[in-house]
Amino acid sequence: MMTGIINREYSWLNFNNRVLFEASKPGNPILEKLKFLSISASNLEEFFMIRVAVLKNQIRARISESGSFPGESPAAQIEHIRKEVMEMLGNQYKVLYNNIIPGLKENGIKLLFKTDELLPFKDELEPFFDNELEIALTPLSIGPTLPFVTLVTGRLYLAIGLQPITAAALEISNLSFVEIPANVFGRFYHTLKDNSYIPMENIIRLFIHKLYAGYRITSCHVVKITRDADISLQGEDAPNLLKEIETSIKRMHRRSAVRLEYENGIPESIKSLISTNNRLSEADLYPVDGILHLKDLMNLYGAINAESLKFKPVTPVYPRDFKGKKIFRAAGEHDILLFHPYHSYDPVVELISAAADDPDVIAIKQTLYRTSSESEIIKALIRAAENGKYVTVIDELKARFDEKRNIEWARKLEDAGAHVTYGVSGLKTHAKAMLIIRKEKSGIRRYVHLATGNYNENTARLYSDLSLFSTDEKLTGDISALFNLLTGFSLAENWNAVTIAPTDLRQKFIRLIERETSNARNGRKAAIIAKMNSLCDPDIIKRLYEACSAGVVISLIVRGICSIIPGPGENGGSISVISIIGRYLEHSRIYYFYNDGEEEYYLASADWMERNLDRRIELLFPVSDPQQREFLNKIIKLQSGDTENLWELRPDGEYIRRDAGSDRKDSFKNIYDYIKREETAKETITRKIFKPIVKNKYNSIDGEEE
Amino acid sequence: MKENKLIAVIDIGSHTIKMHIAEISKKKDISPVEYLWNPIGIGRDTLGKGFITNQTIQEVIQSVNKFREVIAGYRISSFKTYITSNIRESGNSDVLIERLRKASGVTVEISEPSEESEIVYEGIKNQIKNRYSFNKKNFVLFSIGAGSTHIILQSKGKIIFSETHHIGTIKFAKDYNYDDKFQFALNPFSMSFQSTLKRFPDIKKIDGFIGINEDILPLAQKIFHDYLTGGMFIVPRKDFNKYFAQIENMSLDRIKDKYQISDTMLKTSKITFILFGMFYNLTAAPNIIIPNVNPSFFNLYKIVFTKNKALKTEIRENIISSALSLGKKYQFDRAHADAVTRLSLAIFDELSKNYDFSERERIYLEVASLLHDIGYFVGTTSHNKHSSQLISSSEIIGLQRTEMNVIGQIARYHRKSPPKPSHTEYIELSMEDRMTVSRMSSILRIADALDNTHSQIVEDLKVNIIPEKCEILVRIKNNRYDFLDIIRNAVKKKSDLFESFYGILVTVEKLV
Repeated sequence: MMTGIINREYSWLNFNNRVLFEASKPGNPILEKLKFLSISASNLEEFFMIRVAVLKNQIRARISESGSFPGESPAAQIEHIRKEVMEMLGNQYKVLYNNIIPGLKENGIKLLFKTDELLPFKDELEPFFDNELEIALTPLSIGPTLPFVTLVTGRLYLAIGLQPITAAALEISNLSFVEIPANVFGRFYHTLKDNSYIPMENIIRLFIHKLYAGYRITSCHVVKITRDADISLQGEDAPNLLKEIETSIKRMHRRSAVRLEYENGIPESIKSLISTNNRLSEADLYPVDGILHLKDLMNLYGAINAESLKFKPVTPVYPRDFKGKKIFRAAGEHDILLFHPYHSYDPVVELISAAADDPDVIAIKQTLYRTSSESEIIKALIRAAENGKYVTVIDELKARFDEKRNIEWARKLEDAGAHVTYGVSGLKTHAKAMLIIRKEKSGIRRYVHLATGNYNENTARLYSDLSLFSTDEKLTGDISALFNLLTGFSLAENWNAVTIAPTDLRQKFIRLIERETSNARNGRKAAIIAKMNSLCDPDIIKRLYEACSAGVVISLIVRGICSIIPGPGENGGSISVISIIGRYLEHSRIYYFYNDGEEEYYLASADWMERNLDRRIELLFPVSDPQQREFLNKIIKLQSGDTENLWELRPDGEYIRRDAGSDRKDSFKNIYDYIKREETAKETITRKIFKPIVKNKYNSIDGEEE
Repeated sequence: MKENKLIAVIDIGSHTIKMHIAEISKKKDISPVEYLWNPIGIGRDTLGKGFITNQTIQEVIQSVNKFREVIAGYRISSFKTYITSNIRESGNSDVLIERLRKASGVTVEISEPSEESEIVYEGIKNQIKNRYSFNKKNFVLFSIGAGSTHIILQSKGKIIFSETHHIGTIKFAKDYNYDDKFQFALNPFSMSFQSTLKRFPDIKKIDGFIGINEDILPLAQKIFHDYLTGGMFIVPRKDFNKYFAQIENMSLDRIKDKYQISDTMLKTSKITFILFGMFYNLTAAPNIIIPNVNPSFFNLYKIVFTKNKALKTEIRENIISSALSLGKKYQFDRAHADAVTRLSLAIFDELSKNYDFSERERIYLEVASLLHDIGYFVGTTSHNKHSSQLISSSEIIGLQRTEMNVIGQIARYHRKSPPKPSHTEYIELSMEDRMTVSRMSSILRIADALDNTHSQIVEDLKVNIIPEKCEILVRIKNNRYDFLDIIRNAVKKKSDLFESFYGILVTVEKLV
């Protein structure tokens, strides 16, 4: 039987390399390459803040064996990671300087990342520095009477070597730091002529002497500290939780450092001083040949007005089921399944917005995990509360990196009169659900929206996710019970349609996998198809290996971390793993089980990771409608047949791109075309059919205004 | 009702506090909207400590406050809160009720055992409607709760017997040891049930057995899903007994694993399954019927149908049929009881034109008239006192405990001494109830006197209330007016209470 798992950290690095590949992929527009490079840098930053921080904490705690990967010590893993990251960094800068910068130059956009490239612009830059930039700069010097500076995580600083030259020097100091005020001026300066972008640190560097009268500048290099961002909380009572998270955010800069990045060439003494004061070892130091913090390149993606250098915009398809109808009528006629961003996200926003103003709506309940900064959904919830509706929001404060935003929203919602709970003690509320209770002529009716993705209008344009609108009584009853459970009003009795983590979801998945295993052992056809973001739960992996050995054909579409080793099993079974990386971030979760011909389809908010199955509130819900199942089949088929964006996992843990040959299939395009065709076909069918006016099961008349 | 209305009921039980929110249609159909519940430890505290702890009181208050929030969210303007009668077994039930009132503003109504039985019965009736010949055949309703068990016997649509035992799944769970001792522990209970059935020999067989319990539902939904029809699991005997044997021999872990039953309900669902099996097999009913509905939902029917006139008639009919069954149990003189009842109600109806009697008092009088002589079962001497005790300790669906006490007192005073300050049970009644007892027993005394000979000689009567006189005009059977003086004397002896209470003389004349 197959055994063994791929280290999740290494698998993640592999994933980030696939993202980085997009930054050099032929055929990607140049600004999209820039974007992917930025994403790979941002991903790497988070990886250090969380995953590397965990390993370093284990080293500090003298844990000899990492729980997530037995057999390799945390120290050994950090060493391996460093090796891979150094290679990755090398590739990032190669792509930037050899591919992206020349590519942009060809299109009349210059990224002037070298200091000597600034000299022609001195006449423009000097007044900018004197009149605007200098005021925002606060040199923080270190000396006999001056303590070492605490460098805030993720912010760029110039580390300036100083030598006092005159008595005019007020303090004896050899080292000073100046923070690059990217929050105020942006990371890049756009020249008035010539369409050039200059990193702010280079401008400061050009005129740095103006800040240090009485000193000679001996060196000037950019540095950046990355700190541990994993907030583990002591008490989780509501008032304390809010305060504790706020305090943790404020104290982020005091947490342990996990990495120091610096421009190559920095004097050894300065590097040593920074690393010593931040308790960093040699293994934590990352020299960079180029500008730091490539994450900021995303600012350029937004700033550069050159649509021809980006992916051709695609207008999301407005679903036919919602067109020309009042939203509640549309959502109430039958279940509707949408695939964003191919399908427009507008109906989701329209539903909550309509609910906020509809006098017949009694209550609205919603989970929030990651939201957008100018969220129309939250504005609708606020409006709903102000309109006297009973609004309940489960606002997950512990959504990593979104804590501050979620706190702000929590306060605004409470001020409006909404009932806000900050999640569930000890668990992150990751389920994505909305419930609207409405009084209609035929009686109380509940509308639910369930999704694999967050209620975030911005990411809904960039991530591919599935969402379901339903008024099915079993489903809406379960979601109602779920909200009562999450708000502490009630325990749950039985779930009629859904399955919840952490109470039942793991057992459910195990039963479903074991059922396939049993069918295979009894000589029946057995298959599992699962699409998710990450797969690294050891218990699930073990069951999948057993299933494969029994003869189950297992097809996995895993975007990111995948710890299972693919390959053929005995008795005709197999495990295959593909990953789709491209224009949209694959985020949906689909689970299919052949079940001896009585197929079962599920959508979920959860991946096959321990944190999802055991430490989060997650939701699994079935898809029963034959047309919707057919739709899911088609999506999976199109993705599995992709030759442009698809990577296959090999048993050695490496990914290879599928050889397209002449048969080029871009699943992103093909899915969009498919959905557009289907929606157009619906429109045609609707126009042609004579629809009789009858009373529906709710005793109202179809076509009758509510 | 212009549009559908939302109602809510909170049910504080022995080990759970529940709330149902439902919608009533214009046709008075009740559709569930929400169901919430939380565990509480009233039963555990009462069993273990004899009083409800402060922590449990706090938990109850917290749950009620949360439920009230949900009620407010649905904009429900009024709701009812009931608490189980078992709460009286704890020493500080008043404390809980008062603290709940102060902290939540909620006034709690204590459900009487007979009321709980009534709720179960009405609930089942509304669920089953006219199916399975429910109104034409003989059914046993066996409702097991956390703290009490109700057994109701129904024959041809009328309740003929109901009994509440203050023992439920919590106590059973405490006694259940996974071996056959459990069966023996239940022996007294099952023997009592068997003897109850035997007491109604005209019920040759039980046509249907309805088992009602909340905790068994998840298990029933898994095992009997193929037998679900119209909201009920209708399981033939053979099939049920097959599963019964399996469940009886399955460990709790195995049941949990196989049927995915949550820990909170695991033990009680197995116990209930076994209890259902044991009692169902004491009958010959071809099927066991298990409604797929949480019994606490039935509380909603109480709110909806309280003012329903048709239901009031039905409740009255059930009360009378139960009273008749009780009379049969104690081998009463049916003909005399019927005659006294007829006569007392005739007097009542005429008096009610001048005096403000309530419908409830009429029922009390009717039941007391039927049962006034059941005390003879115990002994001839002071049979009226025996009648009172037997009535007070019996259960009739539709009548609360306090009402049975009042009826008992009415029956007590049908002969001999009228109420006196030295009569403890009488003095312990409220002023209002004492008035009722005096008013009704005074009528009963006269009616009993009119059938003094127990030969139903007065076949008709008319009552005239004229100034300062109550004239009772009688038609005697076969024109045997030579009995008129005997009747007059009997009435004279027993009209003392009437005359002193109503301040008018009672005379008996021939009805011309």
